[in-house]
Amino acid sequence: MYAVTQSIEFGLFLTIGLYLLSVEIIKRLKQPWLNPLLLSIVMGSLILWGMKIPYEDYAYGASWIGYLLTPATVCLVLSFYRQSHLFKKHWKPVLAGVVAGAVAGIVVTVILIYLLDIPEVLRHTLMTKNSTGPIALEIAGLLQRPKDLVMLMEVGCGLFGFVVGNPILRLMGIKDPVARGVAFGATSHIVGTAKAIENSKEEGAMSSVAILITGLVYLVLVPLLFLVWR
Amino acid sequence: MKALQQFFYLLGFLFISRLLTVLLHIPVPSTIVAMLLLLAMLELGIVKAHWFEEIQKFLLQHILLFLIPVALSFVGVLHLLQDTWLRLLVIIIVSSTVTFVVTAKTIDRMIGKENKHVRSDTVD
Repeated sequence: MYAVTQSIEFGLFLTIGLYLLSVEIIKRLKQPWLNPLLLSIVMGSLILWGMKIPYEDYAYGASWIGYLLTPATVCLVLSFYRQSHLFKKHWKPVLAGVVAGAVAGIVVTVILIYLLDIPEVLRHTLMTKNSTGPIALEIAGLLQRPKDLVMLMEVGCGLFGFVVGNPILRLMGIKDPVARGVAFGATSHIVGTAKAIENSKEEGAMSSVAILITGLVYLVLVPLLFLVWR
Repeated sequence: MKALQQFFYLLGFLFISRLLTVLLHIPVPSTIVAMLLLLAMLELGIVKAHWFEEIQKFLLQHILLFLIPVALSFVGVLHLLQDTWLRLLVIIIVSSTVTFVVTAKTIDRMIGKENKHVRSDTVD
């Protein structure tokens, strides 16, 4: 059995299988808030946990397809470039929004870390959580933090935006595609951008550029915070 | 063949960025360097967006698939989350809501003001 799960085929086959199955299920159920990533995580974790398969075994094969996240993130630049006139026109509000959102998010996180008495190991992870996927991973690498937790937070924030982003925007009555797109990208990064792209071309592009800007803002803010707060 | 070529170009950008960050000790993630580099080249007209069209379509369409392997990594650290998962969930929900609302509201308001200025300018 071990020789099977420790193969490259196992992780690859399971990952792509989970994804295709989730996409199919969502197509049949017609539930726009459901997300193939969320469904895949639920089914995948049940399989790994239920069959007592170590994550390392799974990751051995799965990391082959997982690497594509990095070139995919770079591709976001292309969808932004096609709509860059929007950013050139509104760069000031976009920058102000991203910085305001990042600072507000960090302040609330720090307060909650104290209020909820979060253990030391998790603290720094929480601080990096709002910067994007591969970028968060590299910040974690630069700061020598555990990477699996960073990704967990990343996915949590992503799914949050994917599921409740549109309802929140409707509640706030925000129709401007720049404000909407940047909110998705700044809060929920790649998963949020998937939703923004679904909403409209403009939102998708603004969400993409928000990922890049948020990544840069966090790159400055987080290490700074670590210097002050150890 | 086209898609493979386009993938190769994309990897080229990533590889050059990795090279730059390692050799020059740039303390910026190489993914960000690659994104900035690509953006600069596009703006300067050295590379064209359509050179990447097919690979971009494929990668962005399935971007959630590529997240599954890392997303499942929490299975490996379940022991760390046993007593804290609920508190972490609270933090994710509260801080994400705050970031989302503050970002959207700030931009919406500033763009609303910009538009008002434009309108009063045309009146004058």
